[in-house]
Amino acid sequence: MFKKIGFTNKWSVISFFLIILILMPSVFILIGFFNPISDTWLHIRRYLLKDYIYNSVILVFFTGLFSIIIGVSLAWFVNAYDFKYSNFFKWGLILPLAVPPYIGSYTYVGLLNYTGVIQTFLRNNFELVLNQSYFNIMSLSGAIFIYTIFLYPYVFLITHAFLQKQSASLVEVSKTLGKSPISIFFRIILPISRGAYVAGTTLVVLEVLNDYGVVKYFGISTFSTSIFQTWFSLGDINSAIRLSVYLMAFVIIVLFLEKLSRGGKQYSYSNTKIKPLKAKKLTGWKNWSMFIYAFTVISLGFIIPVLQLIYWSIISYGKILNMNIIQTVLNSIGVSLVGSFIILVAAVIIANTVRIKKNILTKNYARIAVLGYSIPGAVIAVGVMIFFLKMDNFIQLISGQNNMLLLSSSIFMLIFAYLIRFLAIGYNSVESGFNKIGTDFHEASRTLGNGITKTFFKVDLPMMKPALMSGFLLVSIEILKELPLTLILRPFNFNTLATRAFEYANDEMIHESAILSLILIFISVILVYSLTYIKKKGR
Amino acid sequence: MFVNMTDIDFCYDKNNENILEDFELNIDKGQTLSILGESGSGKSTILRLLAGLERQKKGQIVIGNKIMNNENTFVSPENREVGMVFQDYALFPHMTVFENISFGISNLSKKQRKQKVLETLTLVDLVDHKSKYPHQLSGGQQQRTALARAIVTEPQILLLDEPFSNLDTNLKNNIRESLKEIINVIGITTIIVSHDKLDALKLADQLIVLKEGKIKQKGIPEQLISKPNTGYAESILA
Ligand SMILES: Nc1ncnc2c1ncn2[C@@H]1O[C@H](COP(=O)(O)OP(=O)(O)OP(=O)(O)O)[C@@H](O)[C@H]1O
Ligand SMILES: [Mg+2]
Repeated sequence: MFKKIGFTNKWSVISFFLIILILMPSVFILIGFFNPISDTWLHIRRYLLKDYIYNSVILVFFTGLFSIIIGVSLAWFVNAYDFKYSNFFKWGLILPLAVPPYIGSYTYVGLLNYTGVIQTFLRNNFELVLNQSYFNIMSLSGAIFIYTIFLYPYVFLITHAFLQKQSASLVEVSKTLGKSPISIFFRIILPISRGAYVAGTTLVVLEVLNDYGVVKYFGISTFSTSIFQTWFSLGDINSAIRLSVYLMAFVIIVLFLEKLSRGGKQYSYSNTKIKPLKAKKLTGWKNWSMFIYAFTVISLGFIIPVLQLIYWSIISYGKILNMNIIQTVLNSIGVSLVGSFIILVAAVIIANTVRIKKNILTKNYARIAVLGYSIPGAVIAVGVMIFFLKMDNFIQLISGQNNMLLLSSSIFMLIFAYLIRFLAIGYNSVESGFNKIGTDFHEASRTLGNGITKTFFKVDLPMMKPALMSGFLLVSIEILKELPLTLILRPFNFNTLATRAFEYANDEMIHESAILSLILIFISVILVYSLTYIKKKGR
Repeated sequence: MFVNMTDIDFCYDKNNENILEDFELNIDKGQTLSILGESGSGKSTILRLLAGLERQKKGQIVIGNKIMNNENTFVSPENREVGMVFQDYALFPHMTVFENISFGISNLSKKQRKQKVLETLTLVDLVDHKSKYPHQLSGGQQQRTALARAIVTEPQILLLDEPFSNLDTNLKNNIRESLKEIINVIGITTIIVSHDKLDALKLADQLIVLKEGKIKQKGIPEQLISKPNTGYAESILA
């Protein structure tokens, strides 16, 4: 075998350190698992763990199921049929993603409670006073509704993109074979898009397991809430670690099921030219029922909650002045920009190394880079916190200064946690950008006398701009909406739109919360819209 | 020998079988060698090894008295002084013809750069198109841009991977002629990979016939074509 001469370069060295850094929190969690067991843990294991598992299974299963039903059916309808406003729905149906589920949850609670718009309306106009339990959505089924209506776009988005590219010729062939639309849907569309909707559903499920805001507000105990509770209320870090390991086991089962249900097969044509399916024009009741279906979904997931938030914001207009809104907005935007930038830089460095140096080591880099997205926020928070505290201990040791929490009180800790959690999103965008341009341009530049770094800046980077932009936007949206990590790891007195909105809502200050939520949603919508704009232009 | 590959073993994936085994290749300075062979026989692989885009398991590669790759040495592609024309040309889409060609000589002063690019543009007859972007060029113009980009750096060897495959037959004959002229003018050592025996006949001093990574026959093109030694060589040279 040849020695690996010239195998190390700046790119692989930096990638190596990044990967090690990313792995550290998980390592500390694993080490912590072997710490002694506390009484709290015995109590949790005996009395509470069952509930966490039961609640999580129910939430994950039904949210997943309903998301598939809504996401796949809508993806197919907007692809195959031309109905009222169907072009708007193609991107409009993504909008619920701009509403973080925790904001959706308290909006619906406010909407439905005794003093809310709906009951007030019924009382004043029809003198109807209904059983309050009809309106209580602070339950497991309420949480399923909230998750489904705000997260189904993941399934819709991926399935829609897939069908757009893949379905045309198959559908046309089936039509010539005399198949009805319904049988085409069940016998062709569902099977070929399985990989796509399973991938989308996995994202939904991971979001559900990651969520802290909704379940906390609804008072449902899950792994996330109990990790928070054992750590901050009970101060029992070892039990928090154990819960984290259990939650990760849960995640691993989910990922395993994903692999299983994708069936290993990826149906796709690589060589045929992409031909869009010609949408069939609908008229009459079919036209109307499709419109009503899509409109209902978008109303529940976007229009109604946003209108409610606007209403609350208007009636509490005076309160805005003493709320320090500008600072909070700037914090949110700042942390999103800085975080996304760092994440994209890391993603580019690792992806470029993986692309250029193909070996066993770099293959694992790619896996580790995308690992974080499946780790729920609460778990990352625990791992990152321990890691930074250890580093602070170390700094205290060598500097001889006690009581100095240099790193763990800084914004770096939060940004680092974002890096772990959202690197996958940046990485996937960068990777698909690299795949799109292939290796020929890179190699041509190398044979023309340019090294890896110069080639990267002069050739690869300019050609990848769209991919990098959309990666940047995607990560920004996620950071903007992120709650559990930010709640735990932010520096003292550092507030973002998300944390502020959540805290106000939790303190029953719904109007204050509404203004912040509305700004957050507004920024997200702009980002989502820019994203679809870039994608359209790229075509 | 100006270019020399000895005892080369190569495979793409560690666990797979060798694409090349005990492969040998020699070219004298200023000569043109043509490699003919069926699809998948390893033609591009040989060029990629010479360019340093892949590294062999075993053996040695020498270009112009300098060891490029053996057990202790690996010269990376950017330091090999190898000019390569890719099958699909790989012209940088975000650069004009001028920028594409001057890309490899950015170490020169601006004035020198401009002069060299213009010389090369004249050589390949593209002066009028220098401000266009690749997508605004015809297939033949793209091909000549790729050639100009490869030779402007004055490489030690020129590697051409199926240089005519994207062109129609008429154009192909023209371009072949002008390529021959250009190679002669600059006197560069050249390797041309192709499917087409006419390329070998018109352009090459030496010809090798390749099958599954092994040389089936080698010699002067006219002689080989009149006396193929195997059924395979016959089918390739037919
Ligand atoms: N990146 C790669 N990874 C794995 N195998 C490869 C790779 N590139 C080529 N091969 C394999 O190596 C063998 C030789 O490929 P090569 O590209 O050198 O053939 P070729 O003679 O240039 O063919 P063609 O005339 O079709 O261009 C083929 O069997 C091919 O499948
Ligand atoms: Mg080839």
